Amino acid sequence: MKTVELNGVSKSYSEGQQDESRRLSVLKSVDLTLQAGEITVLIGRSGCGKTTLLHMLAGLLEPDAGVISPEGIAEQCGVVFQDHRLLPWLTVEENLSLALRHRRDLDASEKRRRVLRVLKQLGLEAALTKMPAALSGGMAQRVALGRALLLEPELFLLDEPFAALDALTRSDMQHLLLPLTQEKPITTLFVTHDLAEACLIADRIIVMDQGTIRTDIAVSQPKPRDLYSPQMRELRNTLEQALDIGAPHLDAPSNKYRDTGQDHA
Amino acid sequence: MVRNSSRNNWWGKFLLPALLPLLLLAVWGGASAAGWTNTFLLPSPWEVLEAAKDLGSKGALQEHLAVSFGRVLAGFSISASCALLLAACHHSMPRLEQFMSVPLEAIRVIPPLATVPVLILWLGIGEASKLAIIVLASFFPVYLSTRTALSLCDPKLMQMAHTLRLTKLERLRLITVPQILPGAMTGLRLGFGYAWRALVGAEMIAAAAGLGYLIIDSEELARTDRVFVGIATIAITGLLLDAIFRRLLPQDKRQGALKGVF
Ligand SMILES: Nc1ncnc2c1ncn2[C@@H]1O[C@H](COP(=O)(O)OP(=O)(O)O)[C@@H](O)[C@H]1O
Ligand SMILES: [Mg+2]
Repeated sequence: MKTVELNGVSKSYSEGQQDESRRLSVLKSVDLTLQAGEITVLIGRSGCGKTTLLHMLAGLLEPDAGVISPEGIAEQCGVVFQDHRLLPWLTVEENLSLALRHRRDLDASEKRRRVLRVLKQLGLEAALTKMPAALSGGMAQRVALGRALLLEPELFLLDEPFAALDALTRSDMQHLLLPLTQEKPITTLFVTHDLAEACLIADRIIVMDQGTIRTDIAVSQPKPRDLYSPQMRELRNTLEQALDIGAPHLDAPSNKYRDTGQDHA
Repeated sequence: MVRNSSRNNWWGKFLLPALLPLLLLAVWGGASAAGWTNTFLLPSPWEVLEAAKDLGSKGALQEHLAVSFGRVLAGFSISASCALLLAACHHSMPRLEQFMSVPLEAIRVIPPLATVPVLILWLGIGEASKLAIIVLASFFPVYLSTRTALSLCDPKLMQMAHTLRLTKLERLRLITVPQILPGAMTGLRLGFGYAWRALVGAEMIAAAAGLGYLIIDSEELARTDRVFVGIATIAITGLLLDAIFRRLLPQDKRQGALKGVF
């Protein structure tokens, strides 16, 4: 298990394709520690920079400034994206095997054994030979989860993995994730904009707003949790306050609702 | 239901498409038999068939066909490999693409036949100038459809591949190639058709054999029946080759927005 740290990490994007001078500053000198074996939930409005932060941890983006340590952690991470990103021309088994291709130390039978074991853990045995198009949204996302777990990551990164699922399936997935992460703790960053989801699975909740970290709350209640217990209600209230839910800044509406439109997609 | 639909299939796939050619043939034959046609401008179907038999029995038709086929194959191999290579280069080097864009566009809109005089001056009247015509005619369908297929590749899949630690070669083989295959294959099929169509133009240049030569030579000898034999051979062979090509096309397994593009 590894503790992962971000120190003074900043990132900006050029706003127009021509105009390099006008840049949109997305992350503003972020300091963040992901404790070893903990699930850190990053919560914030659409467009506040969550995906950008996660992509930098995954090595898909370079920070403009700041450091991520330990060095080379990107090489040891497993990522679940919001969409499943399965290759449509491969079966579920072949898609999962992709995650083991780089393992020259394992022979073919061991690789197959691991694929089957992950399928079983996720209740996907029946999907082995199916094509991704034949899977439901929840099943496809479970395959994506399995694919990331097959990497045996030191750092597990999930970017709103259940946001595109219906409420029932989302709840199933949350309950599936808990035992997986408790059996074998992995340092995890879980991005979401769903308060209930954050309360259910987090060991620590980070509230982000317009590229800076607003609040950092440790959550010590044992899991599984009852969302309607007094402690959870209180946590929810705290989060709602931190996110300004129900108390709009009438003087700065344009900033607050600077939305990317992802929610309506 | 099943029988009905399979009969429907048979009807739609073979009988219906065959109907119009047969009808035209019948009209042509009827008009010839009734003496309504000028036999020099439009010989009768049996005269054309007779001419084909005559050319076939001497082995001349087969030889013309073989020579033409060889030329198309050689020219198309050159243009297809250049087009695939250039599309790949342009995809990975946008600056190079911008740099080459104007001349490339210009060449694309010039009809290959218009370049014949220059090609003869530069390349002589041998095989090289004939191949050049075929290359010019078949390069762009392959280049353009491959280039488009490459630009439609989903960058999100590449991010995924990165996180799975796939090597560059694996990413190319497992992700890029399957994504561009349907588009590139359709381009190859179109390109091959264009190469075949450019044949007569290519063989207008001092050829001594080939279907294009057969047509031009027969015209000069006022053998319209043989002209028709040449045209029919090009048409029938082209259709057959295209059918084979379509068989070889991979099934389109892509999903969503990419499904059925090209
Ligand atoms: N490649 C990019 N180019 C320009 N702007 C981008 C790019 N990616 C994201 N952005 C912008 O950066 C901001 C943060 O994006 P993102 O990290 O995706 O937010 P979140 O995941 O929290 O919704 C948004 O305003 C978005 O429009
Ligand atoms: Mg996001």
